[in-house]
Amino acid sequence: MDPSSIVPNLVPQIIINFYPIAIIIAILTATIGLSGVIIERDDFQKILIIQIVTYAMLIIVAAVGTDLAEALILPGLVVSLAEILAVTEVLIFREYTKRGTSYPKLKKYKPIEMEVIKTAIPITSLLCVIYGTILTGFTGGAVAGAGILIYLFIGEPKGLSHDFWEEMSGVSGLAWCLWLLGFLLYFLNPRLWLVALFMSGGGIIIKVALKFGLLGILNREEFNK
Amino acid sequence: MNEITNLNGPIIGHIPFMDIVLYISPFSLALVAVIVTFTIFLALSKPELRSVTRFGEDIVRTTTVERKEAKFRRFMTILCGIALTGVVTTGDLFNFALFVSLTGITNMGIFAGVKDTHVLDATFHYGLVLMICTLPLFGGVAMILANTGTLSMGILANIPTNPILNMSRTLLLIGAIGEGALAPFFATKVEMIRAKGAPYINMMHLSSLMVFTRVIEVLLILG
Repeated sequence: MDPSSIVPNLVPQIIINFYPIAIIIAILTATIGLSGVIIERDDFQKILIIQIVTYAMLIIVAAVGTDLAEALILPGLVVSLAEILAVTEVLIFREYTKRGTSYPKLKKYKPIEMEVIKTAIPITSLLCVIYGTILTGFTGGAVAGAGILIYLFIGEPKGLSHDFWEEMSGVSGLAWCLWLLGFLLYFLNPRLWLVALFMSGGGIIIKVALKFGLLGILNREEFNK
Repeated sequence: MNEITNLNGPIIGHIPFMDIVLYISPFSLALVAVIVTFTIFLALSKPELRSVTRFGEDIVRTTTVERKEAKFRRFMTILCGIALTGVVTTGDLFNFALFVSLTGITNMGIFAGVKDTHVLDATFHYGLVLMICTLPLFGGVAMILANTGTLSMGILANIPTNPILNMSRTLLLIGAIGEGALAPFFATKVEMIRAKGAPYINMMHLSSLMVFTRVIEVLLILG
């Protein structure tokens, strides 16, 4: 069958050529995932292997290659995540019911013991933050957040009290509002797109960076007690 | 021989709700009426008090459902009713797939709080079937999108069928069967409905029925 009849004309030729390959890869991925039903005996391992099947679903959706398909990936991902969360909750509740307890009995976690964390140069974090600021947006936020994370892991940050990080989480929330307002402005008045872009880009970098930083502070406060 | 190609009759009206295009026909109106009545009935009713007779003893025990657990299950039942309303009224194929999987998740939620290892085990296996069946469900929808370039049921109704479209429809059917716990996959459902707290677990039967009815209609629309 002529491949161009499978995908309408609005898609570039290279994506049309890749479509059958993508479908074959998706089928292979699904086969690996479904093997978990047969081979695995442990229930938790079963969930982890079967989740590969949902990746195959994402591959099939992504193989279409139009803007619409791009917009459909996120709901598909959310559905698969919701399903794995629900199944895991049921598994956890079943184990509690079996053992007759109603609260988790976690082992005591030790802090991460890695030599690279102790010997890394603190300026790496500064470089990460500067590079993240240049990038802006979600990616930049992630890079800058990684910089903050490195700083929190390797050094002994002084002068940063618990209250400071509480305030930082507040700033993170405000930055998220800025991001939303930027989007709203873009839809209400598209002529102000530059302002809206800067609001959104600036908001998301602050939000993501501070969220990463909070992750680091959680690690230090919870596990290093 | 007269072939049945359309179940829904004339379309009465559209409900623009962001990008979820809902439409009303006499068929979907009847289904919505059933769902709303059933959901209201279940939401207002109290959980059952089941008596359990023990063999070898002269004892009849009454089991009760805790208030917190019953509340959670009622909440999930109402959510399931909303998801089912979406399933029967949506005019977009991808939203149909999303609502069907949402029905599956809320179905699982109804049983998630039952303190019975046997029921939870069955629920867990139903969840695994749900996770597997997202592949044919969304895969079928994506292949229809790749084949025709549209997801709107109104446009798809006028597109002549071809072998790849037929295969996608089969995948869609398999997915919906798995999510609604229909024929080949209903072994887990049989075990799940042994849970106590009767009125709420009936939602699962209604969701199976509605998902099945609607998926047949969708297949006829696509054909």
